[in-house]
Amino acid sequence: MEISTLISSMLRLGVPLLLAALGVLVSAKAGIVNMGMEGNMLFCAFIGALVTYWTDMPLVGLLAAVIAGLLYSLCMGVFIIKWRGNHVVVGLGFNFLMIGATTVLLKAVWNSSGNSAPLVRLPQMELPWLGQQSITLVIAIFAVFAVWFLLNKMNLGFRIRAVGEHPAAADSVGVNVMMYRFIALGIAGILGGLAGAELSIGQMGYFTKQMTASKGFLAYSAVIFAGYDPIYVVLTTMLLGLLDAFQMRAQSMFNIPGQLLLMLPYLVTLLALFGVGDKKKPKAAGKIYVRGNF
Amino acid sequence: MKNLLSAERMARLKWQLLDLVYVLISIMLALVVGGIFLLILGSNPIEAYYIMFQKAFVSFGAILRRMTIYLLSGLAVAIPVKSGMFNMGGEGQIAAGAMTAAMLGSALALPAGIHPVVCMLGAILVGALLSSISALMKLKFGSSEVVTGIMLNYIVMYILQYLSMYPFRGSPNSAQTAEILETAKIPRLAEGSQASYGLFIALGCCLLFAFIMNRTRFGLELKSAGFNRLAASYQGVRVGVMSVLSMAIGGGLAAMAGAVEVMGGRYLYLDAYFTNYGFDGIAVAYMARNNPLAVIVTAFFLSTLKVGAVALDRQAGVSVYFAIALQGIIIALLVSPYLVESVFNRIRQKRLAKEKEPAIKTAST
Repeated sequence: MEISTLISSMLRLGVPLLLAALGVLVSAKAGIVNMGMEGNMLFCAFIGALVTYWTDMPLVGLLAAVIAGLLYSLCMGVFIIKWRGNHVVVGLGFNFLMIGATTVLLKAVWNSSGNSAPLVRLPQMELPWLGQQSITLVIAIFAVFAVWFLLNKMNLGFRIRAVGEHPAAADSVGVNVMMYRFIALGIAGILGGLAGAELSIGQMGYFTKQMTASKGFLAYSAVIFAGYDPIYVVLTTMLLGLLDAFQMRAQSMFNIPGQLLLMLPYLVTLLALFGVGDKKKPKAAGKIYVRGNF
Repeated sequence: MKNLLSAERMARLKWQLLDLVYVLISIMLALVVGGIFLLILGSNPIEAYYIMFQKAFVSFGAILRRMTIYLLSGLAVAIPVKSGMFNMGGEGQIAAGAMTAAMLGSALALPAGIHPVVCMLGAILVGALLSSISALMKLKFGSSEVVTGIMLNYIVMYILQYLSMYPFRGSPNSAQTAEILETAKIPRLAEGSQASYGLFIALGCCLLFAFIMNRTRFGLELKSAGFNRLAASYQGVRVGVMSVLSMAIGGGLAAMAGAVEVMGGRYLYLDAYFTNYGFDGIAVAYMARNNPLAVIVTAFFLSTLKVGAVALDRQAGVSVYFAIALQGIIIALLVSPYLVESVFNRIRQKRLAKEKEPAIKTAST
């Protein structure tokens, strides 16, 4: 097995996870348990594919996916933040909505229950050592530093973190809890949009039914392993990507039934959760905050 | 009679009625949003809903067969929620239970009365073990049972796919096990009917758990663990044990759903046949407000919706997944209490403002 092809496919598989994980991270820092990332990616993968299909311009598709992600997450925010919904169940509800809606639309637009028509892909770069990568890799690298800078150096990031750790304290000094939670969710939606678009128009060149395959939840777990730190998130998502790349190679190399290899990323995630747990979770994660209630 | 109409009872009844109204509003809203979605797709929503619900009167047996699964998979979510746990692994538990029943049903040779019971018990054991993993991980390491449940779903899915493709393959054409023996089959309600006597097993479970949750000490302790963990533990309730037990019950019930479908419906395990039943269970439980008796109504409703969606797919070309989109909206609306509350508050404030106005006038004159 050649090392450079393995690294190349690790990056390809890891980048969508990384972007989604960064989104989960930012919203988690504001105290939101973002179980809707799965639906976010799926929706944006579809919108990216659809707009690319209409315009034949993948960059427009990428932009549309980002806008779709923003709208999706703000819509979820209305349920979670404004209407005080249970974070986990609202997120799951939105996932179901998107699994249903994208499959219905897939049939309506392309008259197929499996794949969309082949699409123009995002611009690809031919890199030494790293093979062919789409431009989303550059965006992802930029996003890591942007999220790190946001959370550690910017006032906005401090307020987002305050809202996630102790909303009552933040509220008492005049920080608008609702607004900062919406902002954090919006950022998560944009990152999820990039991740979704990378899946459909970045790599595959078509949309497949339920193509996210729980990558949103893998991203959520990656954030937990990373202890809610944007730099470590790079490591954990790339490890999951490497695992996925390895199982793909191993299927063709060894005589092991494919199913037992396909479950590897999920199995490793489960085993890792055994050891790590979720200790660094922001203190107000998943809690509903009503203004003035302290 | 006096006891029956006590103030406490009336107050509770009032809340239950409000809950019912709220659930109905959520379902209506979801149908409206779904209708708009259908309009965008270019089909007539009224016609589409007509096709969906008219199907209920044509294929009643299919609805009852699906309802059997939903009764159990709905309970599988509703019972753990009472103790503050979320059984996300229903998908895997149902499939694992189905596979266990199919394997035991085809491999063992037992007399007719005992065979289904053995299959059922085997399935329950497997399902309970699966869900206990999530519960224990939540207690020991604080990892979300939703995430571990989903990971387990995928792991189980791939293992079962492997088992039905290689070691236990019963057909050269597709990934399925051999058909179960005659002794393991649960008889159908009538000749040629789709529904089996499994329906009564499932209904019995609903009644049993309604009794356990409302009339026994175990049920009270289980609910108290979900209501306020600290207060419950001060009262001597072993909160952790209750959580694990409720999840184990949930897993067992989910596995039963799969086993009943194998023994009374399909008679074998077919790969990818048992998809989405676990997720549908979440919708059933939340629409029922996690009340075991209300599960009977919501399971019937969702079953009608799903069977109708199949008809819609065939007649109007809208994918079956339309029903899943509706479910998603319903679930999200149901757990967001402030949506309707804020509307009620606004109405109440307006009414108060109106009542105040004449009062001031009479005071001035």
